[in-house]
Amino acid sequence: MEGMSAGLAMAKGWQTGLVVIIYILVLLGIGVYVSRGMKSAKDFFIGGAAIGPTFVAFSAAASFMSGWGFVGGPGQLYLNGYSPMLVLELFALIGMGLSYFLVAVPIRKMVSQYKILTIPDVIRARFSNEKAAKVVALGIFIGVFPYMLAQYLAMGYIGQTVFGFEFWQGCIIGVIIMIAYSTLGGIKASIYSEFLQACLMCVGAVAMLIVGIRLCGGWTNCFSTLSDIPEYMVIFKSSFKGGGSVWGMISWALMFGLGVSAAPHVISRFYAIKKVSALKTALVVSLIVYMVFSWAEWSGFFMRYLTETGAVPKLAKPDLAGPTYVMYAFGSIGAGLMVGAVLSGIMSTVNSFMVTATSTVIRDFLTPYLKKHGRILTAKQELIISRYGMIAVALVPLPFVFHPPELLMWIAAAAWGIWVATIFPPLVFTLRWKKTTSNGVFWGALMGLGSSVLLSLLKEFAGIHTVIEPGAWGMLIGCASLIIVSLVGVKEKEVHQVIDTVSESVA
Amino acid sequence: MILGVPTLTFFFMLGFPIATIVLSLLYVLWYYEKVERPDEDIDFE
Repeated sequence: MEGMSAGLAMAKGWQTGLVVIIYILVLLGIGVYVSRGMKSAKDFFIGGAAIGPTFVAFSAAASFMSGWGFVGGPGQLYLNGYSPMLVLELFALIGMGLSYFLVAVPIRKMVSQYKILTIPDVIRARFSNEKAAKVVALGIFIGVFPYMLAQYLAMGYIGQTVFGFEFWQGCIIGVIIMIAYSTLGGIKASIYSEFLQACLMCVGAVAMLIVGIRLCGGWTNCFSTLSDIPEYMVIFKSSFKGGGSVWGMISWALMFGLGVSAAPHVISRFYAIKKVSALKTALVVSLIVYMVFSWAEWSGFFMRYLTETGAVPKLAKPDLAGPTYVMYAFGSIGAGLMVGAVLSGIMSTVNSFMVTATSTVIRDFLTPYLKKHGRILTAKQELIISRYGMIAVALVPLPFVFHPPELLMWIAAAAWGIWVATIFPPLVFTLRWKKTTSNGVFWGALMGLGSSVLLSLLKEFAGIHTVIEPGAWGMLIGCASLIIVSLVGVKEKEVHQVIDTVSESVA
Repeated sequence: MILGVPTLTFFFMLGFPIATIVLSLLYVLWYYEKVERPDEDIDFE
């Protein structure tokens, strides 16, 4: 594999590398540009709630799709035919839309009314329940790091394929670039560069689809050739976990359909939009953009055709399908742009996580702690601490790149499951159900977190099969606990709270 | 097999634009205007 990657990189010459380097310089430029107007943690974490709908929409879709569309997704199609396209992507698209139906408008209203910045802030604002807010923050925290690791690994694959770096070198260089532009510009840098990245991803996805069909001699030829591989073209099969059974599909529908409404890196975009009515435009744009992104995953399918017909040597790892396809199918500059598109998918997600994790550390742990001890930060101090906090957050998953697990998908899926189980019940019910109680939210979050972590561990280490995925169980158990405690338990009076940790605190 | 694999794939591909259009129309024409009450503040009580 090392030999093949190096060979591919050399065959494509220096132009590819040059385009990627230019792309990275543009990212850093955006970071520097937006850092100039940055005054407070509100600017850093939610862009001052003043960003236009098109930017927000592109950015939400790009954060959700992430490196999956160009690395993990093609890998799955390479292995399992088009089964993942049906069970994952169609649910994911509908889930992307549902997140606007379920949470976008109330979240944006709360930004104005209660000055919220993070997901736990929603619970704080309605119930003043610090315990429940902490449980949610913990869930976000546990999920963020494995997911970031998955994205770091994806950067490693790209460094390896395009530049012929050692795997770990690719990861480390990627992380350094991420730290530089994220700490400078916060979420604003994230959203603006994601817009640029998303445009590249769209162009890349369309090009990958069209060129792929031509390379494979048309759909019909491609399909008839691939039909000769036993089991490959079967839609519902056990080798692809999501498509093996009705239960598998229910798991994915819960986790990647409904679950988008609880994905911190996606919904953090809703905080930043400039006004509630802009969400109408944002929904339409998000859906179209997400649909186009998903086309890039077909490259895994075309790659399988190319390896079966002997045009390309067999791949050592399925996750190499996307990057290798790009290198094979496009000329040097085209390949550079395509690799930029791949890289952008990954970087946009890492960036979102860095913002999410840092806001959790600062707003949900550090600021309340300081406040308890009588110290209230000024806006400037909070901004400085946020920047240093982000560097620390980015470094946490880095040591693990030296012994990375095999398939990106399953690491990311475990992290995703913990989030949806911990965040979905408290967030959606707090925003949408008037009968929700403070105790209900606490127990919903705790049971969601506890059950999803426990079941994930049992599945991983004891091989216990739980019919549906641990995250989906966690989500159901969390919602059930929340509803039962809210209906049966003691109903205290809600103490609403305008959250402003900076200087003048309003209670 | 009545439907060939390429035909099935064609319908998959069609599923995405259809889902996109249906969700967009539902949200913009009905949900946002009638359900969200965009001009009102949130009232939890």
